Amino acid sequence: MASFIDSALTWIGSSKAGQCFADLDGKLDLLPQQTANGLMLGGVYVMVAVAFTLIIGMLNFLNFTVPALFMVGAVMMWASISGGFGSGADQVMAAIVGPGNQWILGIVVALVVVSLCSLVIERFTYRYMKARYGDATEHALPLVSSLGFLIIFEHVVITIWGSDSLTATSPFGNSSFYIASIQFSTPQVISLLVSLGFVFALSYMLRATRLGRALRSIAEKPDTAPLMGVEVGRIVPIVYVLAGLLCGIAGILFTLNYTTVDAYVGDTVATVAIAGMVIGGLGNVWGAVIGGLIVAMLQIYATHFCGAGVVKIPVWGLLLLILIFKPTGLFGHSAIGKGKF
Amino acid sequence: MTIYRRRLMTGLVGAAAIAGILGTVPAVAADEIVIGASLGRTGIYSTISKTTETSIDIAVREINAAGGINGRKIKLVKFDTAGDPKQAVVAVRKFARDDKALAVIGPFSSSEARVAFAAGEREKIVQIPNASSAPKLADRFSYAYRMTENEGLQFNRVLVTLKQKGMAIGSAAILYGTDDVVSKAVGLFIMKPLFAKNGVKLAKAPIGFETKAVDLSAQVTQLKGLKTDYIGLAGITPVAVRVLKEMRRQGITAPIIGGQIWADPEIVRQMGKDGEGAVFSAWFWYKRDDRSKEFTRKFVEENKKRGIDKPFPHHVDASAYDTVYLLKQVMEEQKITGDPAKVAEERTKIRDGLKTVVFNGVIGKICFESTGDAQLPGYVLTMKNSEWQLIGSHDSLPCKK
Repeated sequence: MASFIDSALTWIGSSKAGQCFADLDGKLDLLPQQTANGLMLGGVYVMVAVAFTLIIGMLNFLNFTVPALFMVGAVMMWASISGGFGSGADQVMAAIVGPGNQWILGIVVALVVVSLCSLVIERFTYRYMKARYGDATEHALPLVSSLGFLIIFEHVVITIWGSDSLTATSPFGNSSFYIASIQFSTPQVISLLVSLGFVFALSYMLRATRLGRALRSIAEKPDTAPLMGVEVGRIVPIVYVLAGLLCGIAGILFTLNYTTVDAYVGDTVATVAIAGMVIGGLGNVWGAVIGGLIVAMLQIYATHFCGAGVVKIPVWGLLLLILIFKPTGLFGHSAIGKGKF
Repeated sequence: MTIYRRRLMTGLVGAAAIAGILGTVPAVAADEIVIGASLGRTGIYSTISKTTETSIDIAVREINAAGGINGRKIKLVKFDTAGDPKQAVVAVRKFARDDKALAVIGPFSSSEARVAFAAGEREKIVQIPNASSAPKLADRFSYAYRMTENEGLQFNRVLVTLKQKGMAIGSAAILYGTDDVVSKAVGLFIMKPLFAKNGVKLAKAPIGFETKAVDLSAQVTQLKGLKTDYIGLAGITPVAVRVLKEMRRQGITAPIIGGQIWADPEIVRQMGKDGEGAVFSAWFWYKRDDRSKEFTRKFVEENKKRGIDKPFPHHVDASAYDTVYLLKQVMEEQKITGDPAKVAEERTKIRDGLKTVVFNGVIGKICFESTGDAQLPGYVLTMKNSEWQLIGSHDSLPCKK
C-alpha cells in the first residue's frame, strides 16, 4: 500500500498536476495576498451576477445585454477621463468639475447612458414581445433579441473608438495600503464596499419597500400581480433600469480600477459572473454574491497554484458538479426561473 | 394585367440577375495591373488594419502618380475579411477568379494566413501578409511570402545589443500569454532558452496569463519579493499594457523586456510612465533615414485626414508600404504586362521573382528565405521620457536559398 501511495505521489509530482504542488512553501507564503486579490476581483463579478439574477428572478430569461451594459458603463467612464468624447467635450467637463476631476461627471454620464440603454432594451426585448405575443417571458425571443443588442452595442463602440484596448490613467493612481504584509488597492477596496453596499440596498428594497413587494409579486405570479394592483407595465422597466445601473456601476468601478477596457470586456466578465450566479443559485441575490466571490477565489487560487492554463477547469468544473448534485445552486429554490426573491 | 405584371417582374429579375453576374466580373483594362488587398477593416484587427490600408493607399498613389508599373497604373481591389480566416479564403479566391489580380497584399494575421495560404496555392497567386509572424506558416507553400521577422532572431538581437552596450541583464522573470500562439512560443521557447544562452538567471519558472483575463493580480503577486533586472513580457499589446499596470500597482518597478509583439506605437500612450525603461525590438525605425522620415510624415498626415491619430507607423504599416514597392520592383524585373490573357503565367513569374529579389525599402534591406519568410533588419529600442529611443540596430541577414 505504501509503495502504491509512493508511486502515486511520484506520478503526481512528475505530471502536469504536480506543478500545482511545486514550490508549495513559497506558494503558501503568498496565499494571504492572493486571498485579498480574490476578494477584490470578486467585487467585479458580484455586481454583474446580481444583475443577471435580478432579471432571471423577475422575468425568467438570461439577459445577454448585461455584459453590454457593463461595457457601456466602463467605456463611458473611460471616455470621460481620457478625452474619448473629443477635446471640446473634455474641456467643457474640465471647466465644470475642474481638470482631473472628469471622473465625477463620468459617473453621471455612464449612469444616464446605461439607464437610457436599459429602457431601449426593455422596450424591444420585453415590451414589444409582450404586446405581440401576450407573454414575453414564455418565449426565447427576449433572449435572442438581447443577444442582438449585445452585438450591436459592442460594434457601435468598435465603430466609434476602435477594436484596440482603451487605456486610461486612474484619477486615484496606484494608491494602496497594507494590513500586515497584505497589500490592498484603495480603489479596489472602495469598489468592493460599494458593490456590497448596493447589494444590501437592493436586498432591503426587495424585502421591505412597496416597490420590492411589487417586484416580488410579479416574480411570484406575473398574471395575478395586476389583479393586486401592481402596474406591471411600469414595474418591468424599473427592473431593467436597476439591472442596468448595477452593470453600469460595476463598469465604472472596473475602469477606475483596471484602467483598460475594450468593446468585449463585458463578455469576459459576464461569462464568469454567469457561472457565479448559477453556483450561488438562480434568482437569489445573496446567492449571486457568494457565487461571484467563489468563482473569483477559484480563479485566483487556480492561477496561483497551477497556472493560468488550467484556470477555467475549477470554475466550470464546480459549475458542472453543482448542476449535477444541486441544480438549484447553493442557495437557489426548487423552482428554476421565476419567483425566488 | 396580372400576367403582364408577372412577366414584367420576371423580366426585371432576370435582367437584374444578368447585370449582377456581369457586375461581379470586372473588366480588367489593358493599361492596369490589378493587386488585391486583404484587409481587416472591421473586427478584432480593425484599428491596426486601418493604418495598413493607409500605407498601401499612399504607396499605390505614389506609384501611379509616377507612371505606374511598366507604364500601367495599379488598380487596387480591397476586401474586408473582418479578421476572419474563412473570409480571408473568400478574399483570395475572389481576387484570383473574379478580379484577375496578379498578387495579394495580406491577409493581415497569422490565423488568416494559416488557411488563406492553402487557398492561394490552389489559385496559384502570391499572398504577402504584413503582420503574420507565427512560426512556420509559409514554408509549405510556394506562393506564400511574409514580410515579417522571426521572433527569436529579434529577441536575441535585444539581448546582444544590451550586452554590447554594457547593459547586460543579470536576472529576469518571464510572464507570457498562454492562449496566444506567438506569445506562448516567445515566452517558453524563445525567451527562456535565450536568457539561459546569454547568462541571464531566471528567478522563477515562466508565469502564464490568459490574454483575455481582466485581472492579472494572481500572476503579478508571484513576482513579489523577486529582485530581477527585467521582467520578460510576451503578450500582445493590450494584455502587455494590463500586466505592466498591475506590476506597477503592486509595487514591482523592474522594467519590461520583450521582442516585437508589443512593439506598437500605441504603447507610448497606453503604458505612459509605467513603460519607462522598457526594451524591445522592431523591424522598422521611423527615424532611420530620410525615406523613413518622409514615409512617416506622409503616413501621419494621411491618417489625420482619415480621422486616425497615430504618432508614427507600426512596423506592420511599414511592411505594407514596402510590399507595394516590392511588388513594383518584382513586376518590373519580370516585365509583367497585366495582360488578362497572361494572368496565370505572370502570377507565377511574380512568385519566382520574389525568390531572388533584393529590395531596399523604408524598412531597410529585404530578401526572402526559401521558406517564404523575409529577412528584415532589427532595431532595438527603449522607452525614455515617453518616447521611443534607438539603442542599437542590426542589418538584415543574408537570405539562404
